[in-house]
Amino acid sequence: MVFRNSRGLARWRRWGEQWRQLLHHPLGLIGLGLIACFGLMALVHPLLMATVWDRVHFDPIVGFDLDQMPHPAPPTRQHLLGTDNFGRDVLSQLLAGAQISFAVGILAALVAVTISTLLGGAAGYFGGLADVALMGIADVFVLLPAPIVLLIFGLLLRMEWPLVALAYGILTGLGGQALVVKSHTLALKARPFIEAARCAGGGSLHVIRVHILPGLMSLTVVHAVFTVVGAVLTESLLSFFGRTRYYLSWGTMIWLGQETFRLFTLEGQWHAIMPPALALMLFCSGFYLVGRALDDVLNPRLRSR
Amino acid sequence: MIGYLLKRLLSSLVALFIFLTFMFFVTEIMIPGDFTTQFALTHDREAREKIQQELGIDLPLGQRYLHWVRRLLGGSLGTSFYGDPVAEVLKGLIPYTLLVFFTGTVIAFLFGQWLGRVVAWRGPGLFSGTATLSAIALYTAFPPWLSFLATYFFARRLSWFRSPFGGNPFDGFRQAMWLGFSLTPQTVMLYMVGTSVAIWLILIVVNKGLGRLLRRRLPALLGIPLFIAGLVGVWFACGFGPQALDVLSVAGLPILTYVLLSFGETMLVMRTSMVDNLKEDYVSLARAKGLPERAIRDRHAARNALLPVFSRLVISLPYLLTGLVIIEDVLDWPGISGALFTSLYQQDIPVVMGALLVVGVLSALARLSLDVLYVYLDPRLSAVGGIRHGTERLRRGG
Repeated sequence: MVFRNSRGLARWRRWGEQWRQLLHHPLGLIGLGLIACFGLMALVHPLLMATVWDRVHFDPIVGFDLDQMPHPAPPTRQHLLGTDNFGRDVLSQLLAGAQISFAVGILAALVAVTISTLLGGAAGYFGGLADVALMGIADVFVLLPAPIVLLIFGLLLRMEWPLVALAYGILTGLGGQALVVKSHTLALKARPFIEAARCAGGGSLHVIRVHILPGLMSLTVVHAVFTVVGAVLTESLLSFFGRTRYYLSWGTMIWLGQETFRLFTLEGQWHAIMPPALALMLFCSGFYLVGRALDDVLNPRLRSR
Repeated sequence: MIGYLLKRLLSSLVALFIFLTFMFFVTEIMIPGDFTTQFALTHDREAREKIQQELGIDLPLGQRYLHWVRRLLGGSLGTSFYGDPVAEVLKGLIPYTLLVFFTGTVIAFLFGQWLGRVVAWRGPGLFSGTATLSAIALYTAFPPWLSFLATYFFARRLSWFRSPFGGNPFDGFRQAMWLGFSLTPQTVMLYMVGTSVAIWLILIVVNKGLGRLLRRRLPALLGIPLFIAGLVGVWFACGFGPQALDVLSVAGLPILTYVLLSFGETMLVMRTSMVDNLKEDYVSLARAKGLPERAIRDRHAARNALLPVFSRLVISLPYLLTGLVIIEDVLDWPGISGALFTSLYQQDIPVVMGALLVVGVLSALARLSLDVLYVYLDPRLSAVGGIRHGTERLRRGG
């Protein structure tokens, strides 16, 4: 690969080094493995639908198996994880749900990180009025737990998953994350190399692009990973409480399973609840583990105090 | 110190007010139609207009907001659209939430920091790995699912607790015990929280006295049974013993679920912070002095390691409250979540705003009390400027 200058090469090498450290971090390795598993699940679903599974029996939304009565049915050879109330294959739903979870998590993380980096960075770098305004906004949004606000929104307005992800991203990005980015920018700004860059004639735009944004990069990556966890959990909560448009997701699956669950006074359909709930837990644990490992690898100085 | 706390209180009040304003406009604008077009369909047009006038929802949005602000500043939360004053409605619900929130947070914090301390002290190994991974798994578990599991195992299989689900006649409070009893469950819950704080403080004072007189402190293994025995003794001495135990046998389930959900974060932060602290010079010094290992762990390393844990707890309080609201809703525990969600279904805006106010005040109060504790833990921060600087620095680090 050809680089314009040596700085690009050095950055690339540093990333390679950090990636190696992450692979040597035991928790990070477990997390990466989990995420890879779920990525595989999300990818394999369209393939299975195209080859092994026919649309009539195995479609995650409208599939129905007439030979298998009654529904919900426990696991059989044909339906490896059984079927749900509506006679749909649980495994197929589980795999399709992984796609939604990835989409929600990544969209929310992108939105949150963009907002927090822009606002927090601006407040920290420019100070003054921008700082005051941001602190005011962020203090309010810190008080607002995003899941509760979204549950209230969901009662009034049925949301599709992109809207849920977007709203979650905005709520978290404006809150605590922006505050952390701001204090980090303040610390960066006080470092001598920024002053040197300014003395050498670098304008604000140059300093921000070349020094501040790369300096914030490690924090941003960690925030993004943790946002994925929160966004996926929140989306599932909304689906679980029936406050979305009932699209397919792990939360909706748990909600459907729970309907039979209460009727049978807790002796009911564990097989319909367990797979999505476990998947949700492992998915979030995976991202959480990677987040912690990244935190260790990328911000060693921050934590050593 | 006091000036700082006042400033902190004022700023959180302002933030709370902006939060409520935001939620007021969001709910008012997003709700389809109004209360009468949704729930009074059998009335004719005139009757509906009369109801609208009585409830004050015929006014334009701006005026409704001003009315609400004026009432709030006057200290009144208004009346529910169903006739009861909002304060009365909330008064019946807050003790339920307070009992679980207070007890659960304290237990989760104590257990989490103990586990984190032990895990860091032992270093990597089978025990530490299992503890860390299970803490992460519980922390990222789906709260409703965790509630189901807890109900299934601890209420149905092991029958340690009764589930608050109303459907089963063997669940909920024992009606016979409360018939003809002078106190309501809510009052008993408040007394329970009050007595446990009082006995805790007494034990701390006794411990300090012992330390000064005999150069010896109560070991934790003795302290916990002593605390429980004292607490139950006081309950029976005050005459609400059986009822308090009845409350606990039902409240145990939400408390346990809440603890399981929220101890993980404390444990993980404590572990990292303790590992960092064990590398510091003063730990080697303590060892070189010949202090017993237990003293090095508990009184030197752990005490310093607690600081980031505290500042982390301050940040995550609203999220803990969220988890609690969800657990309450799933387990049918009649706390503040009922006011929040049921009233929103019924478009009972005054009650919703009241419930949001309670959630905000609870988290602001908890933050404030943690701030006080924080200063107590870290004597360096007693100076006014020091607190702000210190907490910000630690927040960055935690």
